[in-house]
Amino acid sequence: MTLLSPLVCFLIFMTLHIILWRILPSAKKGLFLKILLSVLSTSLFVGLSKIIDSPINFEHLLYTFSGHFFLVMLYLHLYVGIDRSVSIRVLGELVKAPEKKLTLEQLEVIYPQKHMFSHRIETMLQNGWLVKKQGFYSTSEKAQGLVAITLFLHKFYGIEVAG
Amino acid sequence: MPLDAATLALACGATLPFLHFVLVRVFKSPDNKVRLMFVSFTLASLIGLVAYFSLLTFHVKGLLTAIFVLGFFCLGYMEAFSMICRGFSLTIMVDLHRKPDMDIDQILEQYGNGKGVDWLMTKRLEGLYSLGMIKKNHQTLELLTPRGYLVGRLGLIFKKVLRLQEGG
Repeated sequence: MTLLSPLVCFLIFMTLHIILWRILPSAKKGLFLKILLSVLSTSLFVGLSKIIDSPINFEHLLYTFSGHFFLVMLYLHLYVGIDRSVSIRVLGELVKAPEKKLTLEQLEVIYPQKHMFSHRIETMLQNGWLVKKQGFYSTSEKAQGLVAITLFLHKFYGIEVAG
Repeated sequence: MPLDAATLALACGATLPFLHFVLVRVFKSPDNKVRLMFVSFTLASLIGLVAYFSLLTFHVKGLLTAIFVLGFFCLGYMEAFSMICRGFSLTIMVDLHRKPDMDIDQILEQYGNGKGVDWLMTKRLEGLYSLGMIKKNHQTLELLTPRGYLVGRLGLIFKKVLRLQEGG
């Protein structure tokens, strides 16, 4: 039974996550809150273990938390994939379409290419990665380091065109 | 014991970028970087497994801890590499660094070092064709397999349950 403890800890996280995500506005559903919830659920797990008098020792906690954070990471892949992926959005639009077919023009109306960019640019502006002057965008001071690391990694892995 | 196993897995996880880099440099094809990333995961796991059974005594929780820690590293690395290769926002930032002061239409045109937004969409759609999920008949996209339907439907359910926006 103690082998299932990472799963119990992860289920605590998922319960909190689903409840909060149904209540909170979109702007607050960020990565930081998910990380906070995953840490909070480990504390709740320890509290729960004490209440039900389940054995707690360092090695068992290490096993539980490593399993829990592995499952959280796996889940975050799924979350980001579904929330941000262009491909998943296209598949979703095809599922909703009559006869499961869409012309490229219809797709552009439902899912404008400009929208793909505008909401990302808006988020980057809010987070201080970009600056906007008279309708023209540039990278901010804050973004310079990140861009330099990215360009270095492109060179490091031999990536010619990203995106 | 879990602590020794976790330490061993941490050491194996730290070799991932190195293994991947070496493989990318040895096999210089531009299209197989993702495949080579999975090869480096397999190699790191094999090294970890051999080291585990040579250095430590078998313990179920210990072995599982090692798998979880290494799995965590692999998933983290996969996400980071995917961002570098395909990250939408990161690419916009790099484009704006190369060519500052662009309006939104110019950003669309210059996306991916001048490849443009059509290239991006074509690339994503080609990914779906190659996975056999959709097909393109003249100018019409069509869901091809139950797998494509399932992925699309699950995406919609997931967004509904978590009250997410349309996404993409």
